[in-house]
Amino acid sequence: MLKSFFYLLLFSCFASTACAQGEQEANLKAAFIYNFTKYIDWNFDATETNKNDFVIGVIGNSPVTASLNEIAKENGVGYKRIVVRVFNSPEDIGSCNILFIPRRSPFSLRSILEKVRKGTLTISEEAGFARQGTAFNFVIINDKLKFETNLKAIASAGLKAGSQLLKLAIIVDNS
Amino acid sequence: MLRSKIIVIALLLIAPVLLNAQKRPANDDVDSLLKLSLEELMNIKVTSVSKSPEKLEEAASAIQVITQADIHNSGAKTLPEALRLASNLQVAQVNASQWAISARGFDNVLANKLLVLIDGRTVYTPLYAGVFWDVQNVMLEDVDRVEVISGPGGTLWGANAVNGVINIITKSSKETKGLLVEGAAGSNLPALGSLRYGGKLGDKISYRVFGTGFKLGNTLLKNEKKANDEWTMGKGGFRMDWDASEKDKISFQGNIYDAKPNPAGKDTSSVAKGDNLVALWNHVSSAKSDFQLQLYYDHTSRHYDNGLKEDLKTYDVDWQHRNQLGYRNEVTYGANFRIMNHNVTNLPLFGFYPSQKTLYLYSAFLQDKIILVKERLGFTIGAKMEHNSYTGLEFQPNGRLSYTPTKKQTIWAAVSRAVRTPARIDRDFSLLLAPGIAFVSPNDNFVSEKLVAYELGWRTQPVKALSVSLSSFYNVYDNIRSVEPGPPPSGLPVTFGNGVKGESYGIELAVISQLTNWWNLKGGYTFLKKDLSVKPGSRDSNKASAESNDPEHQFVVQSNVKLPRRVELGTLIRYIDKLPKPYVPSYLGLDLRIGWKLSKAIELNIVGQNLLDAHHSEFIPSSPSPREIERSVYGKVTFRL
Repeated sequence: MLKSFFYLLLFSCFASTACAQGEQEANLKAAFIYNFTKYIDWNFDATETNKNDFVIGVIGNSPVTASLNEIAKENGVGYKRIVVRVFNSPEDIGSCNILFIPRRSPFSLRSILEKVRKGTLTISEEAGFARQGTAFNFVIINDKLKFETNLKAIASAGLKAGSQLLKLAIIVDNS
Repeated sequence: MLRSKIIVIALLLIAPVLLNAQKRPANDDVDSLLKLSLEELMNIKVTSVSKSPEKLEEAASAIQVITQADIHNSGAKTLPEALRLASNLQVAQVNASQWAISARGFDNVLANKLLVLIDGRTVYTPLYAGVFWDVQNVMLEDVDRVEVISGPGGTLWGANAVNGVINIITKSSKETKGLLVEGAAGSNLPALGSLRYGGKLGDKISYRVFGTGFKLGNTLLKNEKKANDEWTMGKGGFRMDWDASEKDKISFQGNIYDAKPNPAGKDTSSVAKGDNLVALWNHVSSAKSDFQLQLYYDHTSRHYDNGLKEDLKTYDVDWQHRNQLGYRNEVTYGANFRIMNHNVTNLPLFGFYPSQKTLYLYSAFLQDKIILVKERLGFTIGAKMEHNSYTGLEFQPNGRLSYTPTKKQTIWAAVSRAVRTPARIDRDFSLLLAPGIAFVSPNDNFVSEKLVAYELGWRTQPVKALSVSLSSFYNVYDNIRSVEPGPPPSGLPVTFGNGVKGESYGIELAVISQLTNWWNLKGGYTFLKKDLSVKPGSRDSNKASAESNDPEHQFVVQSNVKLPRRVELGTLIRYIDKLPKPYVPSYLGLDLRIGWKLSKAIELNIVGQNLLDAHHSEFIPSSPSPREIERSVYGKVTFRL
């Protein structure tokens, strides 16, 4: 994969707030998301649709989409191949195993969470979102990427997260 | 002679390709990251992209960015050397401490159509409306990037941003933690050394302190004897960044410096000293609104070896507020107030009158960035109104249109008006041949130089690894400075008038490509033509040359190759066409850098500069005598903890 410089993003953006995230950061988050999938009990038999696909949805534009697509080329989850789907608005949100919510989204978190189906793990990257209901939320502390988790959100999605994952997380709901 | 130089360069560019046949994956790509465990991933430092500059028109201007990596790869020792990396600038070394730097022409040691800022602080002198490059050294290790915008920036940046703006941005102290020690010496570098330490005070405050100094070697006189113009400079300072709250960021910076430039090679050099303090508060009210307040104090003083003294104290307050109104309009407005207290100790025959003058500058600007068609067409309109002590109110409007037909292309067009307001030399300067016999007399009627610029540009990224930007401009100038003779028979005293007008036009091409994981190439070509004439009623003794000397063509190519065993090879090639008058022949310059990271803590660099000729000339000033720049080599050791 060829490395591109931040000013390439600068040139190709047009008043887009996604400009501020570097490619390294996007790649890092995608790697985290892929690693999360190994520690979650997905209940694959319970969801009937997309039997052979593990769908990672992204609502709106984000540089993380490209990184996820790179991962999808040669990696899968269990026996399933990874498919990355971009949804243009909350109304378009279809069934997916993970929904990634990029920061500075033009849509409010509430409108997105209303349309998320059961069985979907929500992952965001904006301050405070885990507290507001996403299952995982990326934060940068001391220039390193960490993640918050909302245990209730994981449970209401009908999923279970392994203790190895939770011990690395910052738990925001003290349940 | 030229052909053999080109062959040498071609071999140097190809050699690393032959040496490095294997592919080395970069460490930040997804495949490498997937090999790590979650714990290891959580230990990686996130390199977030530098924030889009606040005042920048990303889509609609001719901007080139010199990154820290570019500076590091080039082996540049000083700030003016680093500016060579922008092909949209005319950069010429005049002697050991003086440089002629401009954009879109009108280059001169006293070039006055370029605005230069370091972290938001203007470094222009009201003495001649230009920059004293011999005191503008920043520790290059601390530079995050240099934004070079060619074209008028009058609306956002104010008067004097006629032909371009150079914005030098240093790293936040968050990114310069730990100890850094560097030392260098070479054939034309008696010494260069820096010490920097950065750390944290608690969770939210980071800081750095640094000291840097150098003695740069002499240039040669035309008879190949030493010019004795060595340049010595020492600088120290600090920076502190405080994340006061989730929405507020505050930063403080201070510098103090002392330089001994000696361009004429006299027994005693001039002394130029200064100190400055900058405070910046950035507040994000919401995703749709943020503002910034900046205050700075800048003190510079120069004592020339002939006894002339100049002291300048600047106090500046600047406010800017950005608001996203609805989905279509991004409105930015701001206000600025600046006091410049200028004190000159005149010589009996040479001086500025009154010797003490306080200049006031008030300005306000408003800009609206409008989305006409979502992700396709945008229009920005803005204006700055400025009031200065010499000419009163000046108006600098501009309009920009940006069209994005496909995801990978943008076409933009702009029309702008910009002014270069009078400096003390235009209005207050007096030179006598002998007591009572005036040679140059002040002119109270000198008005601002004006520019109306028409620009058209195209930017495309046809494949991920290639980015191309092509800008063209047509500038119409009026009231450019002329030298008007006095009444016959002697023609004395002369005064500075506004007797030159004319046009200039040109194109600027810039290409950035990441050819492979380990090889990147950046380059640019600039074409410039000027057509100036004397206005009716003027008897300009310079015959409309406007004291400028510019090349018609220039190109710059920078290549950086990552070789095995942590070795890097950087190459910088520049071709500068001849300068018309005074004549300087065209030249091809080659700089090479070999860098080797012995370990995480130690880096060695060997840099050869101006390698193709034993010595060459880049610019001939009106004084002191013309110089030649010698071929040189230096070695540098950098130690990081």
